[in-house]
Amino acid sequence: MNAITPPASLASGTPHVRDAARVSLPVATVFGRVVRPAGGLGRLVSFDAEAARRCAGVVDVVRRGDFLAVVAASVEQAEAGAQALRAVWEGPDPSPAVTRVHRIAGYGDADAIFAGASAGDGAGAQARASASGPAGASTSISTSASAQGGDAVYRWPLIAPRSDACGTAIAHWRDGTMVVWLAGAQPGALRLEVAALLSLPETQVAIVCDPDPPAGHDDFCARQAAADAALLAHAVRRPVRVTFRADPAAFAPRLTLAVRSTLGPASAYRINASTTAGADTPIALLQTGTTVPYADAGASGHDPVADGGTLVPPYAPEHLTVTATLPPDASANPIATAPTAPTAPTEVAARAHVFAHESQLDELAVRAAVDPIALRLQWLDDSTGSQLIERVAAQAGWDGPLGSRMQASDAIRRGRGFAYARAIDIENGRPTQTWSAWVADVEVDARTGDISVTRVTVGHEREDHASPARPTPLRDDIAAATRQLTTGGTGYDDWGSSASQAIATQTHALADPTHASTQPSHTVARQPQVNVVGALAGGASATLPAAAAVANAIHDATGIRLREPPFSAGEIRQGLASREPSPPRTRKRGWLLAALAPVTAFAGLCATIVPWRAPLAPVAPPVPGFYSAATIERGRLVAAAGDCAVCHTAPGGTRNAGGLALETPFGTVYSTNITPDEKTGIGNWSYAAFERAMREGIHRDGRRLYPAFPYTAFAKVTDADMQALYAYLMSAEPVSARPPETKLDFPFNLRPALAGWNALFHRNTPFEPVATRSAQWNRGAYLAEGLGHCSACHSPRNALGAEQGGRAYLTGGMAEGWEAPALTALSKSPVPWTEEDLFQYLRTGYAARHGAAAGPMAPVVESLRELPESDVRAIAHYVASFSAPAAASAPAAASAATSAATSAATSAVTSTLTSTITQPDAQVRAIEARSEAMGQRLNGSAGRLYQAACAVCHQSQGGVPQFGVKPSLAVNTNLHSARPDNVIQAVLHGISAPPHAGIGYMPGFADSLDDEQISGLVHYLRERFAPDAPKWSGVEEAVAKIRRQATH
Amino acid sequence: MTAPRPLLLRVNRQSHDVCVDPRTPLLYVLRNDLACNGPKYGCGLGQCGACTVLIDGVAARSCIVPASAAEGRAVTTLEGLGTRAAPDPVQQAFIEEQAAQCGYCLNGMIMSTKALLAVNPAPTEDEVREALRFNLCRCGTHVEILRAVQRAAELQRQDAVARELETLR
Repeated sequence: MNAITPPASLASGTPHVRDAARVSLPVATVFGRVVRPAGGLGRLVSFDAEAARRCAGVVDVVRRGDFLAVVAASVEQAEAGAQALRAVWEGPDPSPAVTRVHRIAGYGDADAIFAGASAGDGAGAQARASASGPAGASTSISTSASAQGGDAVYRWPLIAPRSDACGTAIAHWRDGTMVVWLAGAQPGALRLEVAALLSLPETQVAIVCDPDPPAGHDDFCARQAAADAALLAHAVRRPVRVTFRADPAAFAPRLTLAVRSTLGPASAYRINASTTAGADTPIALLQTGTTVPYADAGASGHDPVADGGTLVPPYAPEHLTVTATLPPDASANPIATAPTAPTAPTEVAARAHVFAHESQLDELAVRAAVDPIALRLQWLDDSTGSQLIERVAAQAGWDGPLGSRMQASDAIRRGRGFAYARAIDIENGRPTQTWSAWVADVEVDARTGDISVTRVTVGHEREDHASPARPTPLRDDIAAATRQLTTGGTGYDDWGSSASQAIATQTHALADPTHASTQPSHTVARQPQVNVVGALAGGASATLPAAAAVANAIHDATGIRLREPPFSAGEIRQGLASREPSPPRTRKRGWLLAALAPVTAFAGLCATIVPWRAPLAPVAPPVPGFYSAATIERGRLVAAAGDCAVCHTAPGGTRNAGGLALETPFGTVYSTNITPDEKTGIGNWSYAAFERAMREGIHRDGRRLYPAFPYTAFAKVTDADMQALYAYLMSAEPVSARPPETKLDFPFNLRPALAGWNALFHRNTPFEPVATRSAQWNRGAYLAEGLGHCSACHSPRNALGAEQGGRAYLTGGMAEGWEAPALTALSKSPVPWTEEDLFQYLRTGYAARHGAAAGPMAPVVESLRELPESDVRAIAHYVASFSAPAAASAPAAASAATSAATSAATSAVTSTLTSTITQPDAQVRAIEARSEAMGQRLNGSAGRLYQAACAVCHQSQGGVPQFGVKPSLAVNTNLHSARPDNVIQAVLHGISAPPHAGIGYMPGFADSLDDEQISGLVHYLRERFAPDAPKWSGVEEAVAKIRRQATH
Repeated sequence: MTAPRPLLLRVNRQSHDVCVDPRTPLLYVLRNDLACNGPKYGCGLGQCGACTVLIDGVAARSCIVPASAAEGRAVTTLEGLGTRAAPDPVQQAFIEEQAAQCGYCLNGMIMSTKALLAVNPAPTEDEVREALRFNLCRCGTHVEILRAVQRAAELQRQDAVARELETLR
């Protein structure tokens, strides 16, 4: 055996960082899955360590403070173990109990002013001053008797990794040394952090970086993974691999800036900056309450919130107070040891400060009805800055905010905003003062909330008159700055951040293509004609005022004040909707019709049933590049949520080119080509024709479409989504493909008869959110009832093929030879589906207590993969609301708490480990034990078939862990169903296309077992795993029939 | 049929570009395209275990896993464990205990043992029996195989720390 000598570099004190490519990783790693509450931080109340340990492949459950993780032999097993933990969190309570306020700068005492003058805030009763004169004129700001001021809290995200970013690390504890391999190039202060986390001297920690991490890997995520892995490897004494996935909703440290300001009788301005959590600190440290002495690592020593000199505003009101609130563990030396210190991005902090100051000044100006530029000039005692502002104002043709003077139309609101910044730029290695001023013009589409920055005037000056270190073209900087500012929001048809992170500076010109020519869809950067040496160039500091300028312009256009970027279209749309009466919609007309019903009932009926509908004229397809990338991206998500490609793609065929045969009780319906091919697809469909087809089921040529196409559900889709979907489909590659024609038997071949069907069964009304339900529920309802058309398969249909609603809604149906089980309390699943189960199933295609997605559901899950996690959670939340109220687990929790309290002698850790065993888990165990006992009793050839063909992958207790999941058959919903169809489908045809490769594959046994063997096996499975359910009848016929069917 | 497409496979720490129908069983690609003949074709239905490889360190029956599933994952075959000169502890143990008759199941036995020791470095005899129960052997070398697994566990324990520290130098 080799002698064990620690490498010299490990013994020395220098950080051990080297090329990971030359270091082979330990082969036998186990996988860690850290469990965290929404929001990332929270107090761990209870969890079921035993349930997790019972899961196949689980090595250990590790808990330290509020840090909780499962270590298992494979990623999937770790995931299953994490689910079994059923951790309960309290909080989130990341804010420290004690905070220390540090006064950074000030003169006069703003606090004293505010103490006396808070009553008049927000009154707005003062007569509006007339529009003030051009900027630079010595406008005196009238100081009124009452204070014109306001409080506002601005927030700025500190870390914003891409939503799909991830990072991986492997840690190995051996011979008293923690070695961490990191798929990231920037270790930051990781060595110090890991040492603190494990209470080790730094010399016992080695960090190995990968200088060339795989695409999609993010250093922030890799450091998070590294800390998690180190903690786990130290606990389980085995090499542990952890992957950390960015989830902006889960952990989003932000800088919070509380601003208060007032004009007259004495002007005052107060700002307090605080962070809730370390921007860059591994969450594991925060969860375990570990303090890291960053100062020892030679941290920059900058005040975390005052970097770039921007926390102090560049203005001089009569009274000014600037403070920063820091967490309590920064007590000894608050600046040097603050957890945010090591890599707090100074530029990010500067952007946040400028955003808060400049937005607040604009709010102040609006309240006082003074020109925002004049207000700034009055408080500015810096001639360079004043001159720059005046030049920019002149160049932009500044004439005060637009107010309501220049509204293009009801739908398009225009606004103009100003912002200014003075900062210290240290890019060139030597601190340099810079000045920037922005005038931004925006257009906001009130229907969609989409923000377009139409014109920007930027002035920028540097003290040293040098070129910036990073002379990127200003146009690029502006595009990037505005792009980062806009994103999706929280409305029920918002699509999360990924949808809008494409170019968001373009206009939304879908509903009426003629708009396109009148709305410039680009950002114009006009260079001010100023005599500044070094002139206008890019560089980080030039775009400092961007966020505030755009926010101010949005306020000017809509009256809505956005205080946290990225600015979301949904927020604007909701804001506008809440303050204005919505335009008359179908519902209102409905009321009118109801009132007139006795008179017009007959006429109304005639008007509804129009068997023949006019063809809509073909149009030329939109030219490439007509739609903005953001719109197309949104449309892509809409299409994914609508599963368009699932039905409109034939097996092995081109995406969306049609031809899939859908078997209905009335005959076979073939899906159509929805690529923009002019002859065979929808290339010559106008938006009006497309929308009519989607909402009313009418082909462009006036033909009625069979309701196998779920227009009954798509009618609920909002206009904005419908337009984006059209843009997406029309921007795809046209494919010439003519699918087989649908020919149904008489009388179903008479398409005009569908007019009557529609009158009976179709309501063309948009989705109406339910006010009493949460935003999440409504988002889920919108997705499930509309685009997702869940009920198309999961609701029974009547004799005429119409979905049954009411009590029958989601109570189960058939699709393509597979049973779509009930999603309500009528579910036959032996263990009730919980919201978390539903989420896991929809997100990963597998729920440990129920089974895997297969058949027509597999491509649905695959399609859902495109959607943000929050959307899938919303669908699960909505569907779960149809289940019977979960069997009360409260008594179990209470008894566990009592037992924990009585065993006070045990250590604190042990008592928390004794956590609630929830009812479903007990149920699962009982069911597993029952089928195990049945297995002992049942004998014969079917039993041997099961042992030979099925047990290796389905029996969690036997064999080594296998690639993929080991789905338990005892709790499988299909074996407890009234119909054997899904079991026969799976046995005969296998699962060759799971929604995620990680679930694993099942071979089909159609070619190796005959009908008799399959039938015998199916009966055996039923008897063994669902002994209390009646024996299935008609299995033999079903096997013969399903064997003939094509696989999905 | 799905058209062949390029797949980037990482087998035994080497990257390979192959152009196949993504649904081709991984076993066929390993044997036919990459000449890794350690994994054997036995039943083709995932029942006998002769085709076992490691995917991301976990045992996988490569006859029922399509090649596309291995994209982005690390595949280890028998060839990736050790060499004639420096066999893996598991291989060394199977040689020392002479745990083979016809040898057809041996790939599966060794790879499954590797996967077992990854999650359980010191298995009891019952645990070994349970772990290898779905790997079929027709010659009846079970007793030698059981001894080999125990020997492998011992060798691996002795070797692990030394080998990995070595890699850091």
